[in-house]
Amino acid sequence: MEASITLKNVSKHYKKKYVLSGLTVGIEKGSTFAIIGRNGAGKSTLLRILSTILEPDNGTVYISGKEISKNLRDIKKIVAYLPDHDIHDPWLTGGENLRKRAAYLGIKTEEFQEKVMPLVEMFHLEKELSDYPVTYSRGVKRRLDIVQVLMGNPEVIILDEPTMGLDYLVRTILFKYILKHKGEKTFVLSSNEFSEIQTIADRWIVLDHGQIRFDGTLENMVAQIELPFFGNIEFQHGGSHLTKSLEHVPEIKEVRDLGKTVQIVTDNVLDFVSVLKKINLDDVLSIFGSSIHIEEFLNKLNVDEDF
Amino acid sequence: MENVFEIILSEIKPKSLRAGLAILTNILTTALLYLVFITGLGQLLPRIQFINIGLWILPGIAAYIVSAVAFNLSLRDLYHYSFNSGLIDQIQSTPLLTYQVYFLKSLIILIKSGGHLILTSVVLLIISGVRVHFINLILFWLYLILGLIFISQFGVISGILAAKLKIRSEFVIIFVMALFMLCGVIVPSSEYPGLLGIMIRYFPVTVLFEGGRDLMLGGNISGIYLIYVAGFSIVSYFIAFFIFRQWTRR
Repeated sequence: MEASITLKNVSKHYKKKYVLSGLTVGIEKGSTFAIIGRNGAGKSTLLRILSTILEPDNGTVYISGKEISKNLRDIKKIVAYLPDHDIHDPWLTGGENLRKRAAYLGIKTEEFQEKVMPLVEMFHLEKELSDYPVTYSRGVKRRLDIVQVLMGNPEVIILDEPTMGLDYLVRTILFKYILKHKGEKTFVLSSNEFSEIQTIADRWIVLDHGQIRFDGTLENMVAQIELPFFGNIEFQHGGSHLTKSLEHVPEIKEVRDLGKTVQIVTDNVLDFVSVLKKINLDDVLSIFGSSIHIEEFLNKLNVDEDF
Repeated sequence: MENVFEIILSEIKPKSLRAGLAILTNILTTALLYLVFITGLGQLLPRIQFINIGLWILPGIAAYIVSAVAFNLSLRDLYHYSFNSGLIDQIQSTPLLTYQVYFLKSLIILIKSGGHLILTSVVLLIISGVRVHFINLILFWLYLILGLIFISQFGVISGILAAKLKIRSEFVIIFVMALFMLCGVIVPSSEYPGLLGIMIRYFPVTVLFEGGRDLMLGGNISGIYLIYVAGFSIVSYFIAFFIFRQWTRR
């Protein structure tokens, strides 16, 4: 497959401390690529380098076959970046923020309705546009920033902890957007939770102290390290009727009745997916996987390396 | 930069209430300074260097107010960006390069300050009843706008340094306002003795204020003054841009 992003031996340090150390990785065009790691693992630094905001100390980064440092103007046109913090002006209303960003992106005033408003509607922001962000909840602020990032129709979309503060509904809308544009746009996401992005990422790397500790797919990961998966299924009228019937399903290690939610523990996420296929989902409100935790995964890797 | 006009409009945000307040504040400030330095001081000191005090201080007040506006706009803008770091990302993650972003920011501050310059000058001329040649007024405005480039760059540099050193912007403003007052607004720089006099005479703000006075009152200016202000504006622009560029990469 054609590479959208290529990093060759990329390093970055702050005050003599290496935040990224000799990273080499390729990201396929049109894929969804996830970067996972603890806080301080180097995820945000890597994303800021990919978004052209930060320059690496060593190494080269190519986006769409062009070296960033030599083609900054062209690359900035196709890359959009959502940091892990707010990117709106608190002194402007939501609508003014979008118009300001649109002006910077080269979207003409007459094109605003056609190019920006569909995203505003998609992320349910119509009612908030005339208010100032100080009156917004955390989730609404995040939605405003996501719209700002997506409005330029970029080819490469870099999202640093995109679901931070988002409720289940908006998270689903964002994931649907990502799935809809799979193959067409390249998404690079970061998170410190596997569960958040395991359903949409094609491939991921695990960063630890600025180095890649794992690079592969969900299947690779499950094959490499067995960790239990905790799947929560929320039912409209309670799931206690399921608790007993599920106890004999071979993939399930344990079933916990949590009132309206049933928690199912399996060996891995693939087993949980096969359990889902056996359940009547008509009464289901939401499904949420609180699977492999980053700490557990890194600890497992460390133990394996020690052996 | 296809959308320069749209970008400037979105940044200036011409809202009727905000614009009205800015205009009102400018008129009141201009009138108060006129009251103190021309009406009040004029009772005790009718002439400075054989020139009627009204004529003498009028360009000084206009230059002082507009320099204060330009400096404060740059400083507060930097503080605003410093304490809302996402704002830099909001702009940096667009197709614009850093030098384009910086040029636009400087241009926007210059447009806002230029608006205040015209307003202050017109208000002063109306309330003082002084008549100056229209060409002299235009030359005064153009010269001041050239000088406002370095004043606003001075604001950018001060803003970055003050934010890094965690100094509150109010302290910077108090100091700079006093410094500007020293630069020939009322007392001619030639009256200061010794080393202090030399330092004040060649300080770029003094050259700007006193050159502006020469232009408004006589329509002439020393070529050295013009080259000095233009050169200082160009050099300070590039120095401030370099510091801004480093700062945004922090």
